[in-house]
Amino acid sequence: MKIRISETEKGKRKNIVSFFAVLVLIVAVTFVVTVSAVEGPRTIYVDDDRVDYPAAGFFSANGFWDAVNYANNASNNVSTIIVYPGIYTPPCTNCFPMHLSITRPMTIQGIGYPVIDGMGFLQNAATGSRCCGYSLIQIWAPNVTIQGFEFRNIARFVMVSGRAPRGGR
Amino acid sequence: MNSRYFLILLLTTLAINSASAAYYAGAVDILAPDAVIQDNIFQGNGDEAGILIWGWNIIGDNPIIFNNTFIGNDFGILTLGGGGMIINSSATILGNTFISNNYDIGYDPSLVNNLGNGGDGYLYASTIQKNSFSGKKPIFLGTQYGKPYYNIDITQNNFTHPAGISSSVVTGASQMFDIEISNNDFQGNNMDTLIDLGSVSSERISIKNNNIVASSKGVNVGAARNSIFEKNIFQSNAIALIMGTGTDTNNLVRNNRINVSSIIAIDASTSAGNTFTRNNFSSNVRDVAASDSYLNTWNTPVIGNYWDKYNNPDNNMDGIGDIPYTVDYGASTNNIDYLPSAVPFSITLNRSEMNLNSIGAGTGGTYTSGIIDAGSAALWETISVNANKQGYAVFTHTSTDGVTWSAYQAANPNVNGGIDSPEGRYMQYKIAANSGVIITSATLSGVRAVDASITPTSKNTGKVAIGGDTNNVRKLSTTT
Repeated sequence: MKIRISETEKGKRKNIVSFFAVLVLIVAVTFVVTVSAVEGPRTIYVDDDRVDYPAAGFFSANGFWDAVNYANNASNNVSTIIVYPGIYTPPCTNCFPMHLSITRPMTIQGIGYPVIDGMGFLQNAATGSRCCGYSLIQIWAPNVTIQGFEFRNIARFVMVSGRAPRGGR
Repeated sequence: MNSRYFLILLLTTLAINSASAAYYAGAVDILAPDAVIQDNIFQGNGDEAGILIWGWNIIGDNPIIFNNTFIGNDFGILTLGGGGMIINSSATILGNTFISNNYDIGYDPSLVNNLGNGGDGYLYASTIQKNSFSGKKPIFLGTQYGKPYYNIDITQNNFTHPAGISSSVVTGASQMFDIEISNNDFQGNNMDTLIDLGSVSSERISIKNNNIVASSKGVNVGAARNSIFEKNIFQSNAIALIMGTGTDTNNLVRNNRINVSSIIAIDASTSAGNTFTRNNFSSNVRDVAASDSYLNTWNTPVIGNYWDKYNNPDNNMDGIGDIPYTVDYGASTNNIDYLPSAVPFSITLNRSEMNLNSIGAGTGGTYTSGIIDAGSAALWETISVNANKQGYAVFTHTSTDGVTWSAYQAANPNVNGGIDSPEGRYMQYKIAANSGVIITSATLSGVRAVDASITPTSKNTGKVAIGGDTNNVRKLSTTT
């Protein structure tokens, strides 16, 4: 027996199919977006002047420090930091701490030998305090790779008697 | 700066320093395991260290320090401790260049004080390989509290000691055990000792296959005992080898070529109980300084040494001079080589090496070992590989005659030894690495003679002595 379907009914069915197709599409897109957001790990970029990498998310002289501290936050899900050429100096508004601790596994890759400058005993212009010599970077997490940088001007740390040594000394 | 301000600053600085202690800083401190520091430049850290490996509650184990350049630092790589943690193990220091640092690798107790919680860092089970050194004090193995260094390989490095520098190139200031210094080139400045094993009683030091050139003292054995010095080429040193002081030192000096020593080739005048055999002595002003108060053995039951000053005949043509040779005639009558060789021994450096540029440094590649000869039909059981990460494959093949080979078979280095190739006297392995993988060493072990009746030529019963790829395959005859 053949069932006849009216044109109106056909139109309704078409609409229902279209509705479900759109729904499936929306769900799929949402799924993809959600998965993309959850999936990681991410790579972030540092360029002090944004000349070599204009889209760099970290782009100051302290950008190296800022990026590593950002990556230290597990919720940011960063595995790799790419650093473009420039001279990067530690934030030095106070004497302590100016060193940088790496507390999560990550790869930090320099492109074109960016300079990480310890600034030695330079006087801090803003506060008049001296930037203490101190280990620049301390690796506290396993599986950290640092590749392709120039490190310079680490200064002798002078410790006032009675203060417990930190870091490398 | 006006003079008043300068004076105030100077006095303030002096006041601070008088109430303070200086502590070392590093551009990079390693306090956690499995760090990779690669392709960096550390320079101009004149008072400080490029890299500090140290223990502080966590131990900085297994770091790979690869292909970096250290210029003008106080220390290139400094090992420290603290917080009760006193060791840094399994470091691989590979392919780096050290230029004009005060110290390149090590620890100097005279420069560091008030470490705080006690303990100091030292290395064990580590490899220092294929680096280039031209600093004032390249490797200083000494610790603040005299902790021993052990199981360290210093191999395939190039040491150029700058003119005007007065210090040893490799210095053992603490006890050392199971240290291998092999396949290095030492170029001295005619002023200093190149390898100084120190005055602390170290044991099981192996110095072999090195070029040791232009020093005031090539190797100072110091208080080392039960050690071996073999297949080195000593050239143009004032004194090539000083055997140190002791009456029961039990060191073995064999198969060395000792040429053109301007004072003495070997000074054994205050050391007894050593054995010297199969060495070539040529063009030295004086071959040996000996004393009847310190007796040494100058031949095995088979053969002694070759002395170019020995002018007696070999009438029976057995390759051994017919008359014993008093090695320091005039100074000692009882130090005698009873079997002096009539002809020089063939002594060449065995320098097969892994091509690190093709297999590491981020490019990937394949390394094929030299052919390894077990001396007789053998079962090959185990190969292990050290690398900075996964991403490599190992293959082996074997041969009974060195001509016809089995097909290469994949080995699984970390599971039950993993060599599946058939028995055979000869063996060769191949490692293929992906980009970014750094192969630091490969070790063969568990090699056994098929015929149990074969008399082993090594001291380990039941195993055969292995020659061949000694640079990359270590401790073949001593590992089970």
